[in-house]
Parts: sequence; structure tokens; C-alpha cells
Amino acid sequence: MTTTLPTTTTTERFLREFEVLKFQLQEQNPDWVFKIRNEAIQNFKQLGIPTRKNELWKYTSLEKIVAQEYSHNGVCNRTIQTHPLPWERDGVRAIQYLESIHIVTYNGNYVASLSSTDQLPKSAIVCGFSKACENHAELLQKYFSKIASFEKDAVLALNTAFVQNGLFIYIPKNVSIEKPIHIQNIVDNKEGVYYFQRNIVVLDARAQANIIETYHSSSPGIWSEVNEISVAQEAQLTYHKLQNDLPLLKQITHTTISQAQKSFVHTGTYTMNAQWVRNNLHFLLEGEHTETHLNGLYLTKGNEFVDNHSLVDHKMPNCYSNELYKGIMNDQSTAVFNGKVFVHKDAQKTNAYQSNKNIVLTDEAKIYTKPELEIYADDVKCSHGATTGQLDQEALFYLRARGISEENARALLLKAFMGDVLNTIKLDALKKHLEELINKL
Amino acid sequence: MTETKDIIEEVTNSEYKYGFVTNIESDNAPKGLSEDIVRFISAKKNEPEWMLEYRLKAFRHWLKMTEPKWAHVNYPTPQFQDIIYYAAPKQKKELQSLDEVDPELLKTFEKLGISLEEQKRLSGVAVDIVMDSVSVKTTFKEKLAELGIIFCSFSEAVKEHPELVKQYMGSVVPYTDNFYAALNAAVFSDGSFCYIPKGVRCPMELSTYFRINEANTGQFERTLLIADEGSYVSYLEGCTAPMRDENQLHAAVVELVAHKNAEIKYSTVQNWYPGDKNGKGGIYNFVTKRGICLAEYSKISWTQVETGSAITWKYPSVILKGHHSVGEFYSVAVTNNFQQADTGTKMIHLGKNTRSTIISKGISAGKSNNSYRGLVKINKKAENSRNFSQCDSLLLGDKCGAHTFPYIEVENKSAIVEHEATTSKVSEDQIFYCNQRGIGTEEAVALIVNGYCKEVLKQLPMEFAVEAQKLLAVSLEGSVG
Repeated sequence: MTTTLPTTTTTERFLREFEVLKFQLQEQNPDWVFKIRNEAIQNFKQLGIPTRKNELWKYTSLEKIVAQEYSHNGVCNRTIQTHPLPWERDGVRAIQYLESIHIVTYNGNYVASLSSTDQLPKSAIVCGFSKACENHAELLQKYFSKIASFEKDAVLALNTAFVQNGLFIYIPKNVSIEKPIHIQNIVDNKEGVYYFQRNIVVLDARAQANIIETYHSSSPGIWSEVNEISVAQEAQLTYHKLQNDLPLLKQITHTTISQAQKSFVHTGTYTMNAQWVRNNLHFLLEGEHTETHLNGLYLTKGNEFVDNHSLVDHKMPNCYSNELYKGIMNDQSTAVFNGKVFVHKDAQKTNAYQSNKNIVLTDEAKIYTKPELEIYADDVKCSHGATTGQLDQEALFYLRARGISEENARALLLKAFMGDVLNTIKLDALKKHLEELINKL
Repeated sequence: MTETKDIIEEVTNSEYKYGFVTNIESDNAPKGLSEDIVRFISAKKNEPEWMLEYRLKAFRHWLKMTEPKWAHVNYPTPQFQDIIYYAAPKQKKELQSLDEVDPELLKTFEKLGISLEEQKRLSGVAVDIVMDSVSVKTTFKEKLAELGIIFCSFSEAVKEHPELVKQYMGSVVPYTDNFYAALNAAVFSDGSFCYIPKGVRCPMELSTYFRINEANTGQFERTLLIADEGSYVSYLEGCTAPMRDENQLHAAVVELVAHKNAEIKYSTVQNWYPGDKNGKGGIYNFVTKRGICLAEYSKISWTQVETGSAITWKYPSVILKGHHSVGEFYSVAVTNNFQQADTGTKMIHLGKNTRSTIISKGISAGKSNNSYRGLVKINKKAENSRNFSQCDSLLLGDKCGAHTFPYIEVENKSAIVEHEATTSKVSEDQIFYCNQRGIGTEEAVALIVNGYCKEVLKQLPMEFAVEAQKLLAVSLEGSVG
């Protein structure tokens, strides 16, 4: 039958691949997981790969990206070269001076031998996705595909159908992890591969954690990552994502964070030296009196493309959210920002702020920004702002008049521009690391 | 607090005051749309062959298009085959003075509080009335003719100034632009045409009073306004419509062309029937309005007060092609009951040193939804261009919605683009402050809403500002005026 089709679309290709992998996937995980996979692929079949006619993909040609045929990353592929460590070999260093609990994934697989999870309290859980499906099924069933619904999202559906790897992190009640948890994702595969990752992070009531995620890859391929994060009442989470070392690997990430009452979440998304990135960040505010901070920094150059989509869904009253994204575009690069604040009918006394500021350095660089407000409650304070411009000529003149070279003056002003975002980072080592990376650009 | 609620309820419950039907015999086309109907309309209007060709081209293109669904509005799809596409009052002979106008018609305008005599005498406004699609009366035409200004109905322009119509019609809004623009190009009934020659400053405000009268007739107006080098014109457009149960479709096209150093100021007050308090009936207002600043130092300014229509879907835009050209957009949109408005603007910066300003004020009450949707695009070659946008929303009541969807696309490093938006309600503090000083809650809300809209209202010409305030008052009855 397939031979009669003149051209197969990418959607059809994925459906066919699912048929091929079906039995392997069925073997791997318990039945309840496979059931969800099946639902997801059915859903994907209906939705199809989004085109640019889809409002959420207006500026981002996903079709073109996934048109590239790669093999799928199998879970059986567990052979790891541990010497020398991949990041040592590539000269990619971990974050200096950061005393952290390491969690390492290699080509998507969790590597216990390279991780230092022994520093975690016994009651906490860290394991790979497949293992969690078997050992912590009861717990996982509450969260897997429950926080992020694939019903209307083809990319999520696709990830859910094919997901093979990822992490499960569970921090129990009243446990506070002092040291930051550093997840290092290392991809080292000369062939291009589709990586379908699913990270599930659960903070139970009054738990506390700081998570930093970094990527190191010089290999081609596509990394589809879905993070489902549940923050229970009065729990506190900071979550930093550093998309730095991705010259060839294209990333499509989706993060949904569900917040219960009085919880606190701070996220930071820092993108630089990344070829093609699309980030979806959704906050579901399910309880009252929550506090949410979303910060982002994107620095693009060459032909790089970075797209940040965020949604803050104010479902309950008395919540506070604050979003700040800043970007600097150089060369022929393109950046997209789309932020949405949605205030439901009953979410009175909502306080929501959103700000997106951009500097375009060349005439070839492009920025498409769309900050949205959708409000159905009347007793709210919501505002947003977006600016695009260049370096202030007067400020530049001021510095030059004081004997600072143009190059240095520019660097100084750009640094000050980014300072707003960097200064919100409470982990000094991470802040320093980011500053160093920026200096190298 | 209860008092505020009362007022809000009053606002929500107020009925549309201008609902009445004038009994004038109509010369209607049969229901439905086909090539024959397009030919019928064209023949009825004694149009030349090229005009018919244009209509047919647009119609054939329209058949290939599908209705747009992206706007933040919900409504049943209009049944395009159930609409009467042509209705003209049976008044065929040329009129020289007001005495010859059908007295029924004059009464209609009197009920609206805009009697022609008064306008003629007091404000010096030349009124080109469009009542059910055909221009009935054009005043001050002779006076304008002295200056070389052409101000007439569209069909007259087709006959008398074909070269101008041929040159400019569809140059800003081509029939391929969108679904409703194509529909309009195929079946447009009439509209206004205006040409201001080189270096002429139009001495009076030009005005058209639109009014939908016949049941079941969609109105397809077409306005074309050309300001030649160094000229200036201020154009007013305002509308009310009688109460109806079926939804009526209105798909107008407005094209503005500003040449070098020319300035066009286009003001609209729109108060079509918004439907009753259960959301039944009301006008569908799907309008394509666009202006182009063709050459250096030209300026186009849109001002609109939108209070009516069940559904408004309207984005007056400016293409800033000439260097140093300026685009402005000032808008107040009020929605009540079940009204839905998705309105905003597009500022397309193509030329160097172009500037644009967007001030949008939305007020939602009842169960209505009010959206701002705007695009600011800075093209690669639009050096040193500048945009400032401000979109504020005011919510009266807890069942309404206010939304903002700004699109900002920047492709030039020297451009400066700013956008800010706020959403809030009339604060209790403000009302308390007024109450304390002996101002009743009702007046206080009026005061606050008036102050909130002032930035836009002050852009309206004097004659119009009064009317705009009246219409605001009707829309938010009990709290304003």
C-alpha cells in the first residue's frame, strides 16, 4: 500500500514508525504505559504535525525540522563509554564551583554510575523513566501524561507515543534539598537520532529543591523533551535550563508546571549557542496564593533560531506571576517570543506581569514578539510590555566620552541589559557560569 | 459596592434606543449570491463593462476562499445564500435641496438627533447619506467642486471619474486580500468617493452617515479616499441601525491613499444594533480598512469609537511606504451584553524614519468579550522607524473578558518599538474618592470612563465628539452621561 502513495507526509511517516516500533515499546513498559501511548498516537494522527497556519507555530517551521529522517533512540542502547568522560573529552566543563548533586544522562539514558544521588535523602527517588514505570508505577500513574495533556498538542502526543527515556525525580514531604540538583544531558552519537525524553519531577508538600539542567552535544539529531512538574502545596522549586552547547542538536521542549496553593516556582531558561530551539513553558496555577517567576534570556547569532512560548494559566484567585524575557539577536538569527497570561473567570485578585525586551544588532536579525493577555475576571491587575530597539546612542556616547572604547562600551551596555535577568539567579556559581559564557560569545 | 453592582446591572439591561424601521419601499435583488446577482447589481447601477469585469473576477476568487476563523469571536456562519445583496430606496431623481428628500427619511435622521438642516447650518458638514446602499443626498457638493474636490457616491465616481477609480480601487485592499474584501469587491452596493487635489486643504469635515435599514440586506459599502500631494482632509463616518432579530452582515471596504505631504484623518463612530440583552440579533461588522502613505511626509490617522454591532472584526491599518510618513490609530471599543469585538490595527513600516502610534482603549461590560489584536511590522529597510503602542482594558463586571494579542515583528536594528498593555477595573478607591466629594456613584463611573477614553475622544473633530459621547452613554447607559 505504501508504494502507491506518491509522497508520504511527516505525519504519516511517524505513524508508520510507530507501527514498526509498537511491539518493542509494548515489551518495554507495563500495559498502562502502552495504553497511554496508543491514545497519544491516535490523537497525533488526528492533529498531525502543526503547520505554520497553526497560530502557535506561525513563525516556526516545525514541518521542515521533523522532515529530516532519523532513527529512533532505543532503550537497549545502554553501552556507555565512560573513559574519558564525554564532557572532558569535548572540553565541555561542568559548572565551575557549583557544589551539586549530579545526575547524568547519556544519549537520553540515566547513568547511575556517573550520578551522585547517594547524597540525596533515602526517601527521595531518582531513576530512569522505564525503571520508574516498573518500580514506582503507582506514583507515576498519577503524573505521567496527567500534568501535560496531549489532547490538543501534536508535539506532546508524539512525545508521549514514542517516549523511551527520561528521569523521574520525587522529593517527599517536608524534605529540603540544600544542594542544587544538576542534570547533565550528554548526547554523543555521531548519527542523527530522535530522542524522546520525559522528565517527571514531583515535589510533595513543603519540599524544596533547586534543579539545573544543562546539555552537551556535538551530535546531530532532534531532542524532544517533555517535563511534567508537580509542585505541591507550600513547596518551593527553582528550575534553570541552560541550552548552551547545542551546535547541531535541535531541541523541542515542553514543560508544564502545576502549582498547588502557596507554592513558589522560579524558572530560568537561558539559550545561547543553540542551533534551533523551541521551548514551551506552561504554568497551571491550581491553588490560591501561588507565586511564579519566569525568566528567560536568549542570545542568538549566525543562523540560530530560538522560539520561546509561555503560558501562565491563572485558574485560581490571589496568585502572582511575573515574567521577564530578554533577548539579543545578532547576525542573521531569528528569535520568537510568545507569552500568554490567561486569567479565568474566578481568578479574582490576580496579579500578572509580563515583559519582553529585545535588542536587534543587525538588519538581518529578526524578532517576532507577541505578548498576550486573555482575561475573564474583573478584579485583576495585569499588564504587559514589549520593547524592541537598539543600544542607546546617548549612553554609548556617555561611555565613549569617558575614554571607553566603542567595543567595550557596547559590551558594557549589553551586559547591563542582561543584568536584569541574571540578577534574579540566586545560585552564584550558575550566575558566574552564565556570565562567563556570555563573555565568550 | 451594591450601588456599583446596580449600575452595572443597569448598564447590562439597557435597551438599544435607536431601534426602529423606516417604511420606504425597496428595490431588492432576489436572495442569494451567484454570477447572475453580481451582473444584476452591476446592471442596476448602470456600470461600465470594466467594473462588471472587476466584480466578476472578485466573485470567482471569493468562491475559492474560506471564511476566516482566527478571530477571538464566536458566531454562527452567515448563510451567504440567504442574504439580499442589493436594496435601493426608490428615489431615483436628482435632488437639489432638502425639500425634495423623502420626509420619512428626514424623520429617521431627526430621531437620531442629527437633522441635516442643523448639521448644514451649524457645523458646515457636507453629508453624503448612505441609506440602504444608495446615496440619497449629497450636500455642499457645489461648494467643494469650486476647490476641485470630488466628493460623491461611489457609483457616480465610477461613471464620472473612471480613470481615478480604475487607478486606485483595489490598490490598497485588493480583492484577493481576504474573504470579506473579496465578497465586498464582488457585490458592493455603493459608498463614498473622495478626491482632494494637489495642495488643497478641505475646508470642512466630510461626513457619511451609514444606516442599515432593510431587513435581511447585507450592506457592502466601499469607500475610496485619495489625498493628492500636499492636501488635507478630515473624514467622518458614523452609523446607527434599527432593531432586528436576524443577524445582518456588514462587510465594508475602506481604502485611503495619501500622496506626498498629504494628510488624511478618518474618524468613525459605529453604533449599529448590538443585539438585545440575550445576545439575539445584532449586526456582524466585518470591515477591511486600510490606508497607504505612498510618499514622503504623508500621514494617515484613524480614530474610532466602536460601541455597536454584535460582532466587530475590524483592523484599520496603515502601510507606511513613504519615508518620514506617519500612521496613527486611536480607538475606543465598548462591548456590552453578548457583544464581541476583535479589533485593532496593523502598522506596516516600509519606509525610512516612519512613525506610528497606537492608543487603544477597551471597555467590556455584561457578558461581552473585547479583544485588541494588532500588528506592528518593521521591515528590513525601515530604518529609524518608531512605534509606540498602548492598549488598556477596563472591565465592568465579572462575566466579561478583555484580551490583548499584539504581534510585533522587527527586522531592522535601528527600529524602536514599544508596547504596553494594562487590564484593570474601575477601582473602588476612585469611586470612594468621588463619593466623598459628593459625586454620586453613577456620575463617578461616568467621570472615570470619560477620563479613561479622553485620550482618544480628544482626537475626534468637535462635531463628532459630542455624538461619540452620546453613543458611549447609550452603550453604557446608567453609568455614563
